Amino acid sequence: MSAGTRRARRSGRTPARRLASAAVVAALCVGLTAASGAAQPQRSAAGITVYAAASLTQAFPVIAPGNTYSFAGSNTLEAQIANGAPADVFASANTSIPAAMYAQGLIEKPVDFTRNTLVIVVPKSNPAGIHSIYDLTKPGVSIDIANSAVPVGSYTLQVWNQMGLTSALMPNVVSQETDVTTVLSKIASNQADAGFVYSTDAETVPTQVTVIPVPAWAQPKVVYAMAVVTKSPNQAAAQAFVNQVLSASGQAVMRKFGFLPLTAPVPAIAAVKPLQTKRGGTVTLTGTNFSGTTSVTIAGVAAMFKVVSSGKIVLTVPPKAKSGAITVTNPNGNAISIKKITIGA
Amino acid sequence: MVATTPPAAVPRRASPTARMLLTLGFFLLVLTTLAFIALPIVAIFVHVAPSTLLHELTNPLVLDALVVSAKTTLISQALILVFGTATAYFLASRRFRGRSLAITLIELPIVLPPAAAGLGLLVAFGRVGLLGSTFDALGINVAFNQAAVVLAVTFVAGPFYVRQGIAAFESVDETMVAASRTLGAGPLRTFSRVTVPLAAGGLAAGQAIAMARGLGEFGATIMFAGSLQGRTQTLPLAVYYAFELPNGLDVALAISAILTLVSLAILLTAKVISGSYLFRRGTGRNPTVALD
Amino acid sequence: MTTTLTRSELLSRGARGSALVAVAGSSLGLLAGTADAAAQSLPSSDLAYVRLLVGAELLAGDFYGQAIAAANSTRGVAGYLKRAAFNEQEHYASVAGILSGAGATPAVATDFTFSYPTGTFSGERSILAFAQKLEQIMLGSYLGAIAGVQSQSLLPALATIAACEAQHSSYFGFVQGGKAFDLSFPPPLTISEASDAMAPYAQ
Repeated sequence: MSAGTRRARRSGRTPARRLASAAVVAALCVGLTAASGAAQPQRSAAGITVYAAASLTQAFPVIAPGNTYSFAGSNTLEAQIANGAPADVFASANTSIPAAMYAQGLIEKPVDFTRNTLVIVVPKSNPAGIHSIYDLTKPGVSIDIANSAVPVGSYTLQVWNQMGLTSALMPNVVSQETDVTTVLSKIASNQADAGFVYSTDAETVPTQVTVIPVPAWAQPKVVYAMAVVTKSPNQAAAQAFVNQVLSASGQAVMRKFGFLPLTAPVPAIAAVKPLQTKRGGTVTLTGTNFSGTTSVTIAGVAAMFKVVSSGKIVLTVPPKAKSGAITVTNPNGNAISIKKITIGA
Repeated sequence: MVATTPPAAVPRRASPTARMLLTLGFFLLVLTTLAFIALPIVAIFVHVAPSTLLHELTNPLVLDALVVSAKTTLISQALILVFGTATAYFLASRRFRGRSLAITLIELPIVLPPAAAGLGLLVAFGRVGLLGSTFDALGINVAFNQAAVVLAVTFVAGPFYVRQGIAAFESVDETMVAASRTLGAGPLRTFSRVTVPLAAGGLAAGQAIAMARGLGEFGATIMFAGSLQGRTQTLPLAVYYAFELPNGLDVALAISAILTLVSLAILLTAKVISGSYLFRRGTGRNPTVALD
Repeated sequence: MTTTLTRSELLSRGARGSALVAVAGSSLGLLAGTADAAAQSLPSSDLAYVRLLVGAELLAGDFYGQAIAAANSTRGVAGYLKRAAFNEQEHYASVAGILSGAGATPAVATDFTFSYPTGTFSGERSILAFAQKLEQIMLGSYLGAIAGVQSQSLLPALATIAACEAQHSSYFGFVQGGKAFDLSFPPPLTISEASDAMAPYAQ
């Protein structure tokens, strides 16, 4: 037995022990590398990371199965992206969050890609006997909504405000959740009497909830917008996904899951000049989406008009004109000026 | 055959350089650990100007969360004190079949993930839970109100107190208790005048841990009680909510700062209390300690 | 400072905030700052009535448009259908103007999906029957709004339109061979009744 081996044996550091400790260190190194590697999302060759609103959980993976998806409340995702989360595309359930992020340079210019409707859901057993939104004002009814920072929560409060029901319904709110799927699951499991979700969410659990529509005249304009994240290393693939969602096949998938198609833009009047004129005089309107205008009226009387550009119309005051508001109509809707013009003699 | 003993080995001394490197490495390890713990805590206070943090303290979101946390913590700590002390004493002083099972059960919420605990509370006491219809019939409504928060906090924090309490009661010197009884004190007097004071250090430490744990409870609360400002939104829930608000980082930091300071206060108080008890009462084994 | 007060205070702030976010997102909402002298900030319950009436006028406009396009009415009736369509258009401009003046965005026809019972436009009789029913709903809605709004300034516009709807209803009743008028006090509809009455046709 060599002196070295004797020394090793006495100190307990036999070759076997040494080998064992080396193996442990090696295993630790491998483990740590693997752990940090596993922290990266599993990406297939074509897959990107999409951060999308919770209500898109069913539809998006059908449009593009190869991607990695993270679904949560749109405001949660905004906070994550603002703090450096590795998203390639961001899709929100409203247009205001993407607009704010675009202003901060976090994402490219957002594009609208679908619409949705707000509905009331009640558990199948309907314990509180709810048949319309007005029934929710009864004392003792428990309402579950998303908090106001989440798009669906803000739409809900908007509806209540538009119907003048905010002060009547707020006392019945029992919880404000962080995303729409939590609201849905609380209603589906009969934890609360009623909740406000999107119609597309209600369609995912038809046997557990009953849908009660929100009156059409109070529906908020629910428009979803998406954009490529500026810091994304996969710009081309990200843009390709956006295009895919906007394509005919992508839109067909959205419709299959109950989302509404985009509407073509309606005109909007920003300014009327001059506000005082006489019959036969000209008036210039500035605004947006004027291309395709089919009629311009003053207080209901049709006027001859010329669309100079999508932002400018010049009209001639007709002989029988009366003072009043100006209405610009195109196939998608109309715009009424806020200021009325006065027609002199 | 003569057994040959190996010559006495001279311990090989490490060279001065090796020793210095070893000491250096050792210090680096400790320094890294301390820095790793200190950095996030310090960052909470320095990420934005202190004036911003102070300004956010007047935000109704913060004040409401403080009130909810304070109320629910106090009530749950009171419940934990009453039920926990009795349970801990029972389990510490009695030996019975199934005792270890009972102790394991009590300790289970300590390791149970809070979300699972919240779900369990929901399906036990929620509206359609096991006891839901019973509660309904009795007119009790625990869902979505402060009672639910108290239940959630008590469930996750109580076991910390009970576990500590068992250890505290077990450390009480039996001879002291026996002496008290032989001197004529009844069981209740013995318990209150002898046992509890002797176990007080450990009980206080347990209460401190339970309070700190209860204050920071998130998963069970949000699952079982929901989150509504002014009613069920505790400080941890408010941090989560504030962070996701546009420009909510300042508020979230302010709440986190409050939580850090309160936790520090609890920790220091606990150390002071258990330290003073240890100093004053010794280990409880000194037979000359007066019984008053 | 009670908890209730703080909470409702904050939440109303939040509700206003989210409403502003939504309004700012639409182009007409950007015009809120340029309200003319007659515009005022109306209470939300009044605005709720006006929104309902905007929806009702759009429904009426769509119905008359389809009835005229069906072109299966006699000349006299067709003339009155056209006149009614014109009236409803002006009514829409009026109530939508109230909304714009208060800084809100009035709905447009594309915001709704209108649907009618099968066979409504198959012949003159069914058109007239539905027209009468619709005008009764409109009249009740306006009468309910007159009873329910808090702002006095809205009353003249609402009353005039209600009078017009009453005239429509009277004609459509009479031309079917029924009564031109009957009840001394036509009943108003509460906002929930009006909403429920409209719901089957405007989704």
